[in-house]
Amino acid sequence: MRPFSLIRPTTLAAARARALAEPQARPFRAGGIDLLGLMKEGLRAPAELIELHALSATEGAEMRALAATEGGLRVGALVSLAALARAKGLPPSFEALREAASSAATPAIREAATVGGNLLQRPRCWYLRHPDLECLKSGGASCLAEGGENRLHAILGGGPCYIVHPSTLAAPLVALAATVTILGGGGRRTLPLEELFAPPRERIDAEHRLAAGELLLALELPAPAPGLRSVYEVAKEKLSHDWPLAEVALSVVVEGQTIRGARVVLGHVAPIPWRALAVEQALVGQVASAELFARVAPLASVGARPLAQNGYKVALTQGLVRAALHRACDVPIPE
Amino acid sequence: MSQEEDSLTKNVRLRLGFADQLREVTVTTPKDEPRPWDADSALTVVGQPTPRVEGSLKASGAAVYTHDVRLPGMLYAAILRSPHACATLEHLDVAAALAQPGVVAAVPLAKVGDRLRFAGHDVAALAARSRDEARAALSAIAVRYRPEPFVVDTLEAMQPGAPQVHAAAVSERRTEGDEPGEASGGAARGNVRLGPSQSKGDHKKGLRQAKVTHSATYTTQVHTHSALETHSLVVRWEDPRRMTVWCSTQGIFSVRDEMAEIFGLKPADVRVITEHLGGGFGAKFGASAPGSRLGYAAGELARRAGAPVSLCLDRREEQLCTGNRPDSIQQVTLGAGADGALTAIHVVAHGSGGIATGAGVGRSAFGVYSRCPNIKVESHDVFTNAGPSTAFRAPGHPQGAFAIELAIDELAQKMGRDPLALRLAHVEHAVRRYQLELGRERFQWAARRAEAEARRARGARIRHGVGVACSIWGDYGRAKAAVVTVSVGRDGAIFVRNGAQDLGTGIRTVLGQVVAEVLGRPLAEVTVLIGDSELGPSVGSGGSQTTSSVAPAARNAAEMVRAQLAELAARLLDRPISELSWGTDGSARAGRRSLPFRELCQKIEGEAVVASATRPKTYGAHPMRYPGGDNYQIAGVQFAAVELDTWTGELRAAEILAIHECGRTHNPLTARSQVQGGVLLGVSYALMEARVIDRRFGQVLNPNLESYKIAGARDLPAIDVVFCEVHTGANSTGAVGIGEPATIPTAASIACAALHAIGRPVRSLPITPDRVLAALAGQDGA
Amino acid sequence: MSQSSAILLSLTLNGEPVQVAAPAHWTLLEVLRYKLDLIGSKQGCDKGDCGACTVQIDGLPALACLTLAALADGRSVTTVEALGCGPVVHPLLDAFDRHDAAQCGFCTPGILMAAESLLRRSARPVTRHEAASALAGNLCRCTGYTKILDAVVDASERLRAEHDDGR
Repeated sequence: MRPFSLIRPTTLAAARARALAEPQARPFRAGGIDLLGLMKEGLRAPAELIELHALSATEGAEMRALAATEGGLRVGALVSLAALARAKGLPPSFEALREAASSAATPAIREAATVGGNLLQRPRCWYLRHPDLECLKSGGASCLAEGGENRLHAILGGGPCYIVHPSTLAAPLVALAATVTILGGGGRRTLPLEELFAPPRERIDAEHRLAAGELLLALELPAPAPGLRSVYEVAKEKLSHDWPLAEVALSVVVEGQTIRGARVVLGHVAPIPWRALAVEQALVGQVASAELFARVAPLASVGARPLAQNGYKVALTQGLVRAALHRACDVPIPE
Repeated sequence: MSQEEDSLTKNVRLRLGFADQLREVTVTTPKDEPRPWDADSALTVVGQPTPRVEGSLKASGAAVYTHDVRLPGMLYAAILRSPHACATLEHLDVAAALAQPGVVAAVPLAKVGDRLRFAGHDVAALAARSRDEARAALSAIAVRYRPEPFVVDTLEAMQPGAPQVHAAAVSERRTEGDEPGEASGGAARGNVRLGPSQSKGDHKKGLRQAKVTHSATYTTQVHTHSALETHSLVVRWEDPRRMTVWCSTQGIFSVRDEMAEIFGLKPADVRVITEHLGGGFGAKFGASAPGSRLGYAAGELARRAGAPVSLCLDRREEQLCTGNRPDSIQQVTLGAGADGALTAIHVVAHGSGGIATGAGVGRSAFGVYSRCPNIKVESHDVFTNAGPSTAFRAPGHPQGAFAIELAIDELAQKMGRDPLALRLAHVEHAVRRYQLELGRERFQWAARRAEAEARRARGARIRHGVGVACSIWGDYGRAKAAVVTVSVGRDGAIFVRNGAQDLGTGIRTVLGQVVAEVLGRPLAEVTVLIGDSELGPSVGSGGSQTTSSVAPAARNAAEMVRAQLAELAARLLDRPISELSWGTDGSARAGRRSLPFRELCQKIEGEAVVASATRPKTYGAHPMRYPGGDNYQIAGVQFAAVELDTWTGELRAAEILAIHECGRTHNPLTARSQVQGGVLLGVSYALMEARVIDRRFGQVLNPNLESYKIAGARDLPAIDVVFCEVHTGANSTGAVGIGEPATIPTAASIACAALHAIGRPVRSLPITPDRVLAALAGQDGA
Repeated sequence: MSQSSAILLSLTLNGEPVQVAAPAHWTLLEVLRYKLDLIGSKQGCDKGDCGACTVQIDGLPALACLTLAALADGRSVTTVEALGCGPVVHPLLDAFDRHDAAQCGFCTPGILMAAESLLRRSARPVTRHEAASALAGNLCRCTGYTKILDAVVDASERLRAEHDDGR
């Protein structure tokens, strides 16, 4: 790593001001997992790291909160994945979030990694991360995955770059209709988490819509509707420390046997957390059953345009959606 | 009789064999050889599960590895590597780097005009006061490359007109990690270097006779060793003609010889120390892999700087430059008669070890199903502009076993035969047959096969599959290579000294056990000193030869010490030596008199009784020889059960039954560890590991332990290890190797189980969800 | 290139107060291995993929290679060296020894630190699955993990028995 200095602001304003002066050279540091990785790989060489854990108790309170709100939940950006995974009293409706938080990375990484960092980490694309290659995101002229080794890349929403979004928390948070609060030049703003993510067509240098110096403060999960259940399903080649090949987080509101609402979000198949709207629409108003799930699961990949090596993600995603629906609606899988 | 007494050899009758197949066999040994331990030898220390003597050192973090060596004034080295898949070095000047903070010395590792043949090739090295100063200064080295055409894909490299990787003929580099045998002749055709074939009968005739044939292409991936401790060495010059080298190596003496050659020193003036070693798996013979000059870099930097230099590769360098198991493309053709008997096996294999040789496919196809009368196995190296292969735990065998075993299962499927029955019909080795039959019962083969087929028939989401595969390996215990010294001091202290390194197999403990056994003393009284070239010649830890080379030498030395003690005891007890016997506590007895061990030791004239010994060439190979040799053929079989999620294509190894033998099992505790580790390596190879290289840029995309995926604790199947002890009559302790056999059949058995679960073969490793889903969707071969 | 200044760290290391000066951009692993010569924590990949550098910070597992040393200031850091220095053999070390859970031993310190954190925080003996999950970030290339899990479960049962006896 290149030498740098560690700045420890105690107020949000100081932190932001410091970063704004030279955004590229002065990133915020929270868990530091992805940031140190990028620095060690030579992909970033900041002059300063702005240490968010240095915020004073009052200034950092919102970013550190993990608290119930009226039926919902507030999760500060500095909450660690481990703290989220072992939080007591998380409503059962938020099971997808707990499952995802305890499935990401490794136990030691989860202790350090933060919710904010998980949402804002850079993609794992091996072309982006290669020190001797330049892809669209690292200043080159074209996406190297498109005609290359793209087994792990996007089947949905790709182009001109085909990364998959690396956040494991994003899918369950979107499935649970989280909103995110951001502190920027105009003060605080709150938007649906879905809107935080920027596809490559919109922005190539980052995967989010934060402006320079903006800080992600916290997420808020609204009170779940009665009968809401959520699950997270993931497929990995390796059960110990591996990135997902594909994942799905979904929430359903079931009344009796009838599905009244559904949010189905796919991860690691698109450059942003991907709403499977066709599946959601096909579920609402229907009676939960194995037949229904078998019928709607293929809709998960509507619009998919696989590259040469990642066509398998179509069937895989459909399988995960089907499995998740069975579990969420408590419908036994026929043998 | 008198004739025999005159000769240098003698005949001994031993009880050899295994399980209920023991018989009297006459074995010829050198005249001064102790009577080999056989089935009738009642041993009390050897054969007992024994925790390793250095266990507490390793568990407390106090064990010193090469990474951990800290010397006064020590500098840290870093290496500049070519970023191009192929380039000519046009300009190189290291002088500017010397002006960088902390930098003390810099050396070129390539000359202007050299062709640098893969991305990662050494260019220059420097040494600085800290690791990050060294790394930072690399960018100050002035270098210019002229990129050249390259090829990294094995199939593309075989095409006429492909960029030529090597301009001149390449001679095969062999290490102690390679299976012993003749180096191949190596006629070349473009990038293809023709290898020797293994042949018997007439495979063409056999195929003409066949009523059923099966022909398909099987491919395997490049597999990297990924030892947790990267290649590393520390060099300190003691004076201009002598150096000490700490090296993370599995071949202390290969490093000694290499360093002596590089710097024009006498081997005796190079001392190599490997106290502990963080894994090797075949990649750590000599100081570096082909195309790399780590030994020169560290030694020359240390010489120029006048200070010790530590060179520890980073993970990226380790994955790129230090070795791998070559890939393979194997065309397998099998023929069988109407009665189901194999009439022909024909394998044509190509594989690429990058810029290096070594892409054979082992002996499975040639040696396991030896009742097949017509077999031909041809294997050829294909050069590509990629990092060099080196020996890797059973070089060639896992990939060879995968192809032949899956092909056998596909043929069985075609013929409607049980694949285990088909195997039993063609296996000659009595031990392997016994193991297959044992596994059939223990694994509940028939019941589990039926259950899995019923699940498949009813379209269950989760399916099961069961498969079996065999291993073949040779007893490569080496004659006269390891000299072990045993001493017993006047204070009763027992020392065992040998320059072997412990690859992690537990050789320290086995040496202690053997000597404790012979001298009748507790293991705790025996101090074993290894890991230093000054402790006496030894073998490299490769070819599963360490135990079988070193343990018999230790026994022979201990027996010589005991003979000297016997003479002393006879004198002290005033009885002829023929009346002397030894108690189980090491006391000497004659008539009714007895002399405790310590009292006996106190009477030693001088400081100690000392003897050094080696072992002779193998004198037995009961009950089965290795094809083409005089050495014993080591048998093993593994049964695999897999679980398949048909919705996601995730296929996991649920259970592995590993039935192996290592001759006489000297330490069942550590031997079991070897097998468990070999199995997990095989699981990882079967299901997740693959080096990914972009063919357009010639760049490895996953030189790390993140997207190069290695099985972790959650990926572990239940592993049931069964040892079937065999008395081979090979050497004085009966040791034969286990490290390599344990990993040979795992991937093959999993691939066979995957075929059973899916109903169609996945003919490429690793068996990842993309390939499984394709097979489930009806694509043959995937 | 700017040369970062040295910083002075004060931390509790294996129960003892320690002050050490190190470049501001160094990781905790670098300070342990190259300033304090505590070589038990290993450098296997240096980017969080192998777990060989696992230590504990305030009792929780942490990757020393991805922890800036500056951030360990004022905190309690425990390395494998602490496990071996007690008056009696730590049950986890003893179990690793008896079960032959270490082969080459290079990954062992990190595994011990991850496992010890799990056992200390578990109110009952851990299951194999829990042990495997806690070690999911620690690679071992030699053993195949079987005996590591045997040893962790065994040690956890002993620790609980000792704890219960002590009550």
